[in-house]
Amino acid sequence: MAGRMSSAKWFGLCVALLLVLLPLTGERYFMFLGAQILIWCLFALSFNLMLGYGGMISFGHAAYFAIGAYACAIFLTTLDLPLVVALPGAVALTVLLAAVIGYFCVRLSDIYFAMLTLAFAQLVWAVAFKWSAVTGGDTGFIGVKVPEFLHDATVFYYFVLVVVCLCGALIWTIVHSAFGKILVATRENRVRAEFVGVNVRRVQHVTFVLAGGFAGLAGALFTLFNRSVFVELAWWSASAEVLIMTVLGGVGSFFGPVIGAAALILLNRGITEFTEYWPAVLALILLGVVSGVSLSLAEGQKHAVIGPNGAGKTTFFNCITGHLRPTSGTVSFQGKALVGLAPYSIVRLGLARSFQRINIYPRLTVFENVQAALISDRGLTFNLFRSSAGLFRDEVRAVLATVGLSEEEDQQAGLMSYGRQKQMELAIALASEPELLLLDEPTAGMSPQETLDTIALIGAIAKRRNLTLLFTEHDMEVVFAIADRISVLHHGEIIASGPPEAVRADPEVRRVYLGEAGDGAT
Amino acid sequence: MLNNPTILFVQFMNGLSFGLTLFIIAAGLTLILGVLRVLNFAHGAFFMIGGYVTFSLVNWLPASFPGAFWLSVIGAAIVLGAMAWVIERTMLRRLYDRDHLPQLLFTFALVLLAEDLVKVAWGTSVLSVSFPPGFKKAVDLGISYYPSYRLFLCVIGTVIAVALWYVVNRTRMGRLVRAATQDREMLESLGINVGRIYMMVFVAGVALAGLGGGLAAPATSLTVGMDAEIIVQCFIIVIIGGMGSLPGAFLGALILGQLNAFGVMLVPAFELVLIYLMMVAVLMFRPWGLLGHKEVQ
Amino acid sequence: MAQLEVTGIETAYGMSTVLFGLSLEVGEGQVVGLLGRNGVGKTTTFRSIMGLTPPRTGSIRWNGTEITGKPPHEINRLGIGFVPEDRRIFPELTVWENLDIAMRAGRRASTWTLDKVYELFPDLVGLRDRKGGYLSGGQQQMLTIARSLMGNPELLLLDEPSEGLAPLVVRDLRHQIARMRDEGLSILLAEQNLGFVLALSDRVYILEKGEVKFSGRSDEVRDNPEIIKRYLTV
Repeated sequence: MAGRMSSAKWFGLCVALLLVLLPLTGERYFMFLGAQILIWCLFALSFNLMLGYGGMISFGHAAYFAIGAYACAIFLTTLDLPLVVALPGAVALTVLLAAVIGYFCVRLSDIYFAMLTLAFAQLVWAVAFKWSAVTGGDTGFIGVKVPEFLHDATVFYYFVLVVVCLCGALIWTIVHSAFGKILVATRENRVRAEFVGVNVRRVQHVTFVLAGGFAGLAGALFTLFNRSVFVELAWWSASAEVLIMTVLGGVGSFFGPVIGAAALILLNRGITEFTEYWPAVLALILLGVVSGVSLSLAEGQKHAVIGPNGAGKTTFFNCITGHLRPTSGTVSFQGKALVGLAPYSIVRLGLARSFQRINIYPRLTVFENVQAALISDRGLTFNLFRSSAGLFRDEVRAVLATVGLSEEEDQQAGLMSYGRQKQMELAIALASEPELLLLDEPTAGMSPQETLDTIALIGAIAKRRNLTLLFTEHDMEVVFAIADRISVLHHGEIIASGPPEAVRADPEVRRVYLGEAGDGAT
Repeated sequence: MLNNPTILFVQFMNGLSFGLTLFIIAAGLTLILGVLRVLNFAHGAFFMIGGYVTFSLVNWLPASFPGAFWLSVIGAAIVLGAMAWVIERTMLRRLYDRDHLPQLLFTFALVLLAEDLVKVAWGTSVLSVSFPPGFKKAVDLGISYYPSYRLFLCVIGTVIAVALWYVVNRTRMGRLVRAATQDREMLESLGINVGRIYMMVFVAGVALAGLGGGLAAPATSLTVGMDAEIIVQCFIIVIIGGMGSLPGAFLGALILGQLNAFGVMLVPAFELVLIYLMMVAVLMFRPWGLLGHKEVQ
Repeated sequence: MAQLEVTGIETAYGMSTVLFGLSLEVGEGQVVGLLGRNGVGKTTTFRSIMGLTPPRTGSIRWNGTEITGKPPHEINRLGIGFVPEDRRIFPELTVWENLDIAMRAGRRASTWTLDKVYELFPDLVGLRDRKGGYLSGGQQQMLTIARSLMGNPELLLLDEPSEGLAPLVVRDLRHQIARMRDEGLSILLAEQNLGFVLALSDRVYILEKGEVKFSGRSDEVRDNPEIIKRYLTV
């Protein structure tokens, strides 16, 4: 492992050296190619912020590249502004538009999100296409007034290199910040993230705007590079192109999109020397990727969902925690009405829950799973710059020790045994130091030994922290071992409530458990 | 302009024939989306190949051959159906259980392959198919004369819509298809080979795209890249009507056709903007479409 | 030889194992009850037999042939019908359409036809053109059972048919299941309603935590309050 790490570092160092020394070749062609690759790397990086880290598939990312490109061209040429104003101005305009468009897009998810991004991108294309007076329309915006000092190929190359590297460093900081951790958490498990108090929609909106801004800057650089802007930049196939680049390089790693962009452009240049059928070659590469290599994003997202039958226990839980909205009645916690609040706001009041079905971030480590809950609890969700490495290390370890998972902190959560995952869920719920803990079938699916361990653990924690527990359970041993008070739900109504022994003796409860008395008489 | 009934009528008819031709293609797209849950970006490419295959068949058959054009169009649908069968059996069926991203990449790959295939087989110059005999003139519709082939497109689009409605709602096959969109697992438990239903839907959907390509060929010109525009228009139709809904696609096609025809007339510079605004508005206020069903989670 | 022989199956959803080496048998023409509290693995047993969640280990034999690993539609065509607990009618299809798509002649001289199914569930006749989604819970339950009968199975897996139904409807249902039994159908019946099971079944299995904890004749359970207390009530 150490050997591979260092060889990766060597490789990185070599690439960096190559990039810095490239102009020494004196070949303008290399410098143009280098600048072009760098610009597309930035574009792909911005896209991966959404796709790779946020799990949001956008079909219209090229729109922001195009907006940045047109804005830069118009500011420099039509308005005759200096570069120091035009470049930030282009980015600002893109950010503004991305903020408005993103506001609507993040209200939808999955395919609807993708379709709305596509619709907005086509709208941008249509405006650029038809508004000839400003954009040049069909013929494009030709003859951009690029500042004198950038006419020199070497200077221009270094200019792009510096800007792209700065942006790359910024994106690196963001994805490794507290915000980045939460963003990954929302991708891994949206529902879980909401239940540790994250406002998922806002996290996605911020990501959308950031990605749009960086894409806009890439577009502005492209204007300086190309000295003309064409309407095709906003067409859907340009968005498809950046998606292909990103995915080919690998959405799972930070540098994947960079490698994808570089490889695709170089390959394109190389192959078009021999054949004009570059698209066919690319198609074959894509087919290879789809059929052979398993995409990291595609793994582990499909689970058979079966519904254990219910008298409404899980529904009842979902009403309390804001996942569902009751049609009538109220839910209050410490005198505060909860109905109508989003899950994340309810969590912030001091409620935490675990789920019947395992509900964790499967590809994060145990440490990161708990850390995400803490980041959200301490209000660092929108901290884009503070590194998440080592953040809350002591607190996380203390919580893990409580549930007996100290040894497993670096394990990938999804690969642990079922019982361990359940323990970790408990740790996530405890991390926000709740006053009321809702546990939905804490021992469902556990082996008999794991069940016993879990009962002991929950009992001990509740006592030590003076927690109020509300839990649902099928296993009567568990119920009688922990509960001080039992309520029996049937057909959505509480039919009995009281201390365990009284409930056990209740005739109505016996009838529900054994069937209608009249039926048994036959 | 607005008080000239002849112009209004001709624009209306233009919108109708444009929309109904698009319906033939969008119907296949929405069927595939509804049943297979695959967003097929290659659907426009299948339409394009359908047009080119028709062109070749028309030129290959002797000019004196009776019904050469009609046979060619049917031939194009069959060729595309066969292509779809191969694609489904060899590759697509493995992707049903994966999530959207591999499916997308797969259909992108098909788009790229199709464009190069057309370049290799038919070259890059613009080709055209002439109107079939008997449809070269305009007919008198009382208010104005109107090209008979465009009129025919209105009729055939409607006929196909009715036929599809009949198959989906009144035949056992259609019942199985509708059941497959609702609960695949239950249908399997009732002894139905759902994999075969998926295959048939994909083949039928792609054959419809090929049929649409053949029928549209005389009314348009064949160029590499014509697929990129068609697919966007089909997406708009499917979104407006509701993903997976055939009546929705019909309504969406009619709306798009009229929006296009009258948009050109009323806001000549911004008819495209108008169309995309419609798409945005539907997604914002009714993401499941005008005639679609809200998915319950 | 029993008609259905399940031997030592282990079934899991991802990491969570639900069945730990479960075995059971159903003889031809028998009604066998599957008892146990919520979440002990009754539904999973059915899903394993149907091939919807194939077991990781163990064997399931049907009339002497191994069927583990076969796709659900083939298992159904061999003569096993499944009535899931959550009903799962096709909500956008009418009652008649729901029945029609399931129609298949069995291997024996066909016993269940549309007319005969309507005769057993007369309520469905008047509803035949109504969409499944607009039926009441009891009507949906009738439809699910009727739909499975249309495939002419030899064995019917019934998952909690009385769940959530009014007492009168439950009584009707019991008579209908008895009629099906009299027609020669084997039935594996998972239930929480003890009286319902004991009235219908020849033998019962009691499950707990994915294992069979008790198997025997129905009257052995009825006369043994200790078993009832331990496995079935609070």
